[in-house]
Amino acid sequence: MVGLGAAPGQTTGRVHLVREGSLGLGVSRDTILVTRVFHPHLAPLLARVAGVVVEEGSRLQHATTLAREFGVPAIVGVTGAVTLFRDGDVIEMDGGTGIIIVRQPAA
Amino acid sequence: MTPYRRHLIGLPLQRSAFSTIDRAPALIGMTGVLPGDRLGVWLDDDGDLYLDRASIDRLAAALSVSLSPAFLEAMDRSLVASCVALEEATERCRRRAPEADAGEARRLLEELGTCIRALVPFGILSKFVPDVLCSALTAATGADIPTLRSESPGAVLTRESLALFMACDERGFPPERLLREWPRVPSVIADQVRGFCGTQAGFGPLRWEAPGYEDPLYVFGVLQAAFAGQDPAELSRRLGAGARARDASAARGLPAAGGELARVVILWLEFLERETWYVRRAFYVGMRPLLRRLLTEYRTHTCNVTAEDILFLELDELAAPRPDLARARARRAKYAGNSAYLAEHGLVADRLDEILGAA
Repeated sequence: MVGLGAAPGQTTGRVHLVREGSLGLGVSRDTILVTRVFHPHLAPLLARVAGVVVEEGSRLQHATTLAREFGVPAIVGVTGAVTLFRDGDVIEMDGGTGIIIVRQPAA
Repeated sequence: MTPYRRHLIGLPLQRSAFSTIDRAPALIGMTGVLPGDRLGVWLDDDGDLYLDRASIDRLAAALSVSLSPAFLEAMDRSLVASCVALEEATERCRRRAPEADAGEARRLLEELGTCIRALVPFGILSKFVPDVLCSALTAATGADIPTLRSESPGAVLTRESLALFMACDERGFPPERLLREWPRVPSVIADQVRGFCGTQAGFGPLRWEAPGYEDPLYVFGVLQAAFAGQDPAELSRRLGAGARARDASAARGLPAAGGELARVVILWLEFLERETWYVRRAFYVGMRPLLRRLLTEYRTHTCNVTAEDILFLELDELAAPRPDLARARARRAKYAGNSAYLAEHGLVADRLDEILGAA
């Protein structure tokens, strides 16, 4: 799967789908947030997680600035990400190339 | 036609702030490009946002060959003026609300509505203008995405949220206890939490009716999700990464060939961080106390008007001395029946009454 590399860095972690109305309780250092849009009010979560994958297509968006600022790998423009991935999938992501590989689907 | 964003805005009061989004091109000086200078963008009665991709592409193409220093400066001025006007109007409403009579409340709401409507189209433009500018910058200088001039609003929010977490935790009130016991907590903690919520009001979801940082319980949820069990040293390292990147960028300086362009890209990046904040803050800090004032007045002659009803009026309708309750309630029924929208955004029915019910 390929998106736009928005903030460099490689990481592997467990998918956590962010839904409005649920803040992502249970995120940890190996969590990769997957969301349709990443808004600035979610910024504190970025300080904790391993990476972020965003559906919205533009390379210039909230997620890009914040992820770069926090040194967290980010990929944007991954069409259908919130439906393609499931909570608990283990994925490898490269925020430079935009490549995502599913290493272990959730049980 | 497929919506660009389905279920974007459901609340009629907020939806009415989008009534002039098609006039976006003129705001950045792009007249004479599209028929009637209207961008093909609209929000329908279901709150779905539609974008005519062809009109966006046409505007983006015209923009990419219009980037003279004078054009950039004018675009910069227009964006900054809209942001400043809305911030000032919000503050004016906040300051005047406690003493305003119904007439002044209506006048202030009208001014605030005008400022909100002037800013919202920039949120549509932000979906493609920064990319056009950044592509031009890269083509001219080879430069990548520029770094912000100072700590981003999201980073400031994170730092201040952490400070609140640590202050409460040191007094024996970790987030789970705050969630359990609020508002029955020591006054020193309650004051600190309320102060934080007042300062950070504006950060939160796009939809006004979804809770955000103006709500202590929402804040405790954020503190728990983001910081509980976190290693402070690791967190500090991440928060410091931004400062190091900014220092390195400042040392390099802006590329000479694209200095003006880089400056405007940064301006738009900063706007991207705050576009939701401006409008949400206008609602919670500026509009909410005035709506409460109007509600009191409505109740002097229409005894059965509820706090919820007022959120189903449109901005222009707030100027009328008496609300059209039948119309508001018809909209309310339609809203309540839009279960897909409510479910998608995690909205619960009693939240609407809470927004205006509690002072």
